[in-house]
Amino acid sequence: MSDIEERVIILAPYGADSVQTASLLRESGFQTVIARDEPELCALAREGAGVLLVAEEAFPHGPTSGTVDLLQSQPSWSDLPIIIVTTGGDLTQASLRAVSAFGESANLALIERPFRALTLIRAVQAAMRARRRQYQVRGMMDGLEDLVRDRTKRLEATIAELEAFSYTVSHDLRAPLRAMQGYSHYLIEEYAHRLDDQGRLFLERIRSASARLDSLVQDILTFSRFSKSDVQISPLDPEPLIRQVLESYSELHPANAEIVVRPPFLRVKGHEAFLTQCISNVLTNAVKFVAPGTRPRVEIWNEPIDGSVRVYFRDNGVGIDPSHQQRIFRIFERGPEAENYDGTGIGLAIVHKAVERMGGKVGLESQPGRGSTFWIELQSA
Amino acid sequence: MTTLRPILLVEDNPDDVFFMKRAIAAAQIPNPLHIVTDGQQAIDYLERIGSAGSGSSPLPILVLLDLKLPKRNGLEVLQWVRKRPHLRRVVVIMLTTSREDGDISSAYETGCNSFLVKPASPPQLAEVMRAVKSFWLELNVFPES
Repeated sequence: MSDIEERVIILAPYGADSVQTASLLRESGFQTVIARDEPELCALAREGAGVLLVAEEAFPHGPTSGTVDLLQSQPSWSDLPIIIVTTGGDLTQASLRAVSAFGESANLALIERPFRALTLIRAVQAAMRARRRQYQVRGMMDGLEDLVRDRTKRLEATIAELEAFSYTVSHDLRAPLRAMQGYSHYLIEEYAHRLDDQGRLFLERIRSASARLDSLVQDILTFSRFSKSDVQISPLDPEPLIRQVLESYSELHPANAEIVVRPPFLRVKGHEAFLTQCISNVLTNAVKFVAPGTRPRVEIWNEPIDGSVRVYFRDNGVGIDPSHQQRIFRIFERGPEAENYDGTGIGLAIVHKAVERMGGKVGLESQPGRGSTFWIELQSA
Repeated sequence: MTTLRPILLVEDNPDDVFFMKRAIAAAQIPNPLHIVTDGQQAIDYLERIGSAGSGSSPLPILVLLDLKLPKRNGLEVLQWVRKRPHLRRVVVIMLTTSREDGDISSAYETGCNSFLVKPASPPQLAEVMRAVKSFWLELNVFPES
């Protein structure tokens, strides 16, 4: 802390008083400076002050707005001590006005005249002690702020690295994959007749493995995009989004599954692309995880719940054991029921992330062999 | 008969060049294909448009521009193109693997006409090129060049 912050600023209308008081305090080791009037007092205090020592007569009509403003605009660590020297006896109108104008929040002490030199020195010492404590708090706060700034910077650097990583994944990892898929496609198309059955099988395996890896990479990218992009939440009608998903996936068409949509749907607060992704992931799961030979059947409806709307998706699939129900929303986690089915283990993690980013919840009720009911809950609009 | 204006393909990956040639053939696009493999070559080609002599390049009907390119990247090429009065109206289609929001918005801000994501499989790429053919080469009306 600089010297200027430990000075006692004195304001007394009669010059002689100020000079006397100042020399008294200087003899006790304080630095002092004398203000000619209230505006100068404020100007000096803004530069730095340990204690303000003010004679009551300096505020004949109570402190002006300049002084009140000075005190109210202090930073959170600061509570500048003010000592008012009163005329003694009962509180005068001026003292009362001073006390009430400063309000309860000012760090105000009153000394009555006549006072002994020691009384004044002790009062200033006590105020200065309190002031030094405030400077310590400021030091700690600065340290804390530096720490937060430091950590934030490191966090931002890590996020930037992760973004660069996912960018690299999207470009550099997918290029060789596309080559594998592409060349095996042409190999099958143009050279399959020169291979025997086993050769063709190997080739088909290469093609499907590269296709699987490509969907894995794409799912990871979707997940990371949902983790970082800013989400603008606006009122949405879920029904057209559901219809759109039903139209765009062949496995959801009437030829392949029975999907029953039960309108009306309540409007929710969400993000169109995020919600569409959630609906399509939940629905394609619902029709995928069915026992062999079973025609998938999904029922979609909604219910209001305490200011929110829950959209339900009930399926006739293989169901999920309650002990795995929390785990399946984590990335790369799949329940044992999913073992014999294709998938990357990211679909529900994407749903979980997207719903979370929209300020909602996702969950399910399920028993093995008795189907599952997934629900997505969003605030109602 | 007037000669067809070429398609300029800016693509550094030889595999992608191969697949594009196949997809363009599958889509039965009749225009000649001119291939350059980095951003600087693209600029060199475009700079020679309308120049006198035998080294002059014909004005392409479409530029298919990858984003990630050696020497000058796709955005730099696009920026350069949009600053040239005689190239300002050239149709530039970004053709890339990126779905990054940042890439997409900066490509549009720099003045691309379309942003297409390279699909993974040849049949899908052929589908994309058929769509490019029917929209950009058949439906779209071009300004007088």
